[in-house]
Amino acid sequence: MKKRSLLVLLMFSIPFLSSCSSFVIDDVLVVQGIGLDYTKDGKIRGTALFPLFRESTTEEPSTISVTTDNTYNILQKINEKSALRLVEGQTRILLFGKAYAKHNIEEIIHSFSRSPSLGRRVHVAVVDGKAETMLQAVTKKDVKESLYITDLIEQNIHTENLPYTNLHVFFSNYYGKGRDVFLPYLGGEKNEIKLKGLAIFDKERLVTTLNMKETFLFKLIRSGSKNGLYHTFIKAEGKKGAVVLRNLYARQSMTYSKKNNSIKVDVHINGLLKEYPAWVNAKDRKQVHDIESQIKDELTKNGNRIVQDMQKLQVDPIGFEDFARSKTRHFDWKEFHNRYPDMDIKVNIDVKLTQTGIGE
Amino acid sequence: MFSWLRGSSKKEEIKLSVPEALEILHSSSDFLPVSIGDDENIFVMSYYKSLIDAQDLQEQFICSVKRARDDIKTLEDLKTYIPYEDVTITSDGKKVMDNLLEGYIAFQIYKEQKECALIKVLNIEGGFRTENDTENEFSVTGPKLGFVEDLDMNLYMLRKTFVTEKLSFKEVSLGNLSKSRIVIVYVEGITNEKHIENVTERINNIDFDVVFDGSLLDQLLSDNQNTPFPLFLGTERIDRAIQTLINGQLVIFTSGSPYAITGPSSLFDFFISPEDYYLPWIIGSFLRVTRFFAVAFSIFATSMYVAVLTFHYEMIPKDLLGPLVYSRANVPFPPVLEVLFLEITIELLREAGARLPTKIGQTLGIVGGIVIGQASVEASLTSSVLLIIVALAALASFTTPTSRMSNTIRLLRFPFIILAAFLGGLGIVIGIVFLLVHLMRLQSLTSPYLAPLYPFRSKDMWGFLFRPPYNFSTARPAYLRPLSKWRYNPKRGNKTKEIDKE
Repeated sequence: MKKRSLLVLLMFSIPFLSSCSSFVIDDVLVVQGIGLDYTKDGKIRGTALFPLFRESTTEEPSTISVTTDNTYNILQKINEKSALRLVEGQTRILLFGKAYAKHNIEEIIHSFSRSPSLGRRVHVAVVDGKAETMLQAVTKKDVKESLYITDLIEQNIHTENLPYTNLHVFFSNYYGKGRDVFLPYLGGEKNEIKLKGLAIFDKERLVTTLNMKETFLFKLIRSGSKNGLYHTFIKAEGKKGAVVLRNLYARQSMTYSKKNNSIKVDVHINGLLKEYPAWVNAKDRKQVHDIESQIKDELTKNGNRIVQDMQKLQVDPIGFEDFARSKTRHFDWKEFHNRYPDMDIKVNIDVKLTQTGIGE
Repeated sequence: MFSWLRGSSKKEEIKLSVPEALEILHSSSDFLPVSIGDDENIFVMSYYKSLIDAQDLQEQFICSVKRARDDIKTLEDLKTYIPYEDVTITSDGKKVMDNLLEGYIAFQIYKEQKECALIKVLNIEGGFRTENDTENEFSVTGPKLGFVEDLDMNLYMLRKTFVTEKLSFKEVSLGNLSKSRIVIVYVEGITNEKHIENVTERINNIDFDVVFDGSLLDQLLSDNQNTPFPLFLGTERIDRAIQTLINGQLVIFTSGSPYAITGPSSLFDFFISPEDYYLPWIIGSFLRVTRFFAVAFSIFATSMYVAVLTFHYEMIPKDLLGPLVYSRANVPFPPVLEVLFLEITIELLREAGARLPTKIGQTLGIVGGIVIGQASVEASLTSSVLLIIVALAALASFTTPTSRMSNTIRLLRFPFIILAAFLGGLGIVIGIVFLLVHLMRLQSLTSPYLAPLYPFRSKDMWGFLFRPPYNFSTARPAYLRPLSKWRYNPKRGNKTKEIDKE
């Protein structure tokens, strides 16, 4: 009897004990983007992007920005400015201003990595300029969609040159030994939003950026891929013309030799010659072979240059170190780290043109 | 203390004489003592006018008695002169009373005779429905013949469809005020005697006044009365009753009820439609799986809506966020009130539709469904997304082939909605845990209710989740402990295929 009355008491207390923290979906502001900037006087400026759902069936993205001493109280400070409670659980994009990325991203990564309400498919990106302006550009008339940047990055990952990234990959590169962080690099003048390439980090600091052409090669060298376009020039019979190569399918393989202190990267591209000058006869195997070898030389040359640049900066976003570790028993991190800049890393990109569009 | 209310047992021990018994019955206006014959020898017949086939009585009985009136000196003589087989001679007043109520007439040679002959002249067709189109358990294919209110008719129909000498009936009676006839049907050599003994013992232990429907008996027999789940499968379909008999279950008929109780039942029995077995196994299996999905959807859809919109905004897909928020933008209530409002509206519509005559019921359903739904969205009382979810959930709950189980599903939603409103997804999980524990503890005639699932019997499980092809449904479910395991042998059938050869 006592047991039963206790159970009844428990049942009745559930509503009173549990009704304190609900997130009714139309009573909260659902943050979809967070931007972080480093101001000139050493403070941090945080921006939250969220859609406002009004009576009509269009959303209205809007932003709130605050300036604080450290990242931990950004959300709290933004809440001080907002009528509805802000919640971070639907965040889709995290933007770093270039100054902030050059300063130090450790603090925000630490707090993001432990937040249970964040999904791991959040995209992280670096902005050439201020993250605040980029998030405000989303609210402007010709965009007006709070998921614009997220969709832009996702679209480019799936169909174009951008390598696969999200918060998960980012954490893996950040916390994983033997690899460095790379992030999409956004830019654009005025209210334009544009993908500019990749931002390469050394631990928690931005060191260099790659343009879109280099990003295509980076994606190939890192993992091979299924898509992406490369624009280049060819010379034949004394004429010069532009060609566009579409990567249909690329296979990448790496070999590590400790004895020679060398790594060899082989990439095989099955490509489609998407655009080419009218004077090229695509039916002529000889001409096509000639184009293949010209593109191959160009790609190999540029690929090697990217790798050498990374070696010079002592960063390793492609993960050569991690690869070497996977092939070596009793791996010595320090020793490898010391010889990494002088290592003989050879990239060889092989192109095979399997398609040239509809023939005559 | 109240034993005098229940009719003391002492009275039954006092033997009634026949004249005393007739005197007691005389108080009812439809009880007639009729005298026939001349002054010398008056025969007295006593019977209930309402139970007797008057034409039969006149043409057969009275005529033959009158013709042979001089030869009838004793009651034994009567047997030779009347065209009836069922004649018993008794001096037990109690028995006379019981039999007169079942449509017998009492025949005496002279008025105060201590003995009487009991002859059955029952009016069989009077008042009862003779056809039942099984509209409550409708199926497109298969026989559309159901049980009716008349018990003897039911037994007749069963015997006619299920032709074997192994089909056995066991009749018992129940009720301290009105004696209801209850018939337990089983198949000898298949049904486990334990079930039969169990049911017989339970029926003997019941004290109830009038059992006027099978569903009353269902509740009186059940192992646990404090559960929303039906513990016995009630059916009015003959094919379904036969199906359960083949599997090794019992069928129990009650006089005056078109519903046969079958048992011991398992939870999965309630989701099996006889139609599954009339369609090709691929289609039958698909329909059955759809039905299970529909049940899960019906129970959890609205509570999930409440949980997600109240607590788990994180898990809403990004493209769904906008539509969900728009549709709720002007709704002044929290999601739980919104859901309860719509769910109760649907329940009202259903209840009203069930009580009203069919044609008005249909109109009401349309008016209620379309007009009220549309209007409440326009008035911002509910969101349009929710309207779709609730309507689909209601629709899904109709897919269960047994109406009693669909009532249970209707009820189960509400605790889940309330739990979801207080604790979100955790609340739903807690609800599921309680539900599973409850289901595991349930028993139907002391066999486990969640049977092939818990205790787990993989071979039986396939036969419940899917409708296996007939080559693979040869064994009876083991949890029923049938006396013979195999139903048939598909290999024995086709040894030569001369006809198929081309």
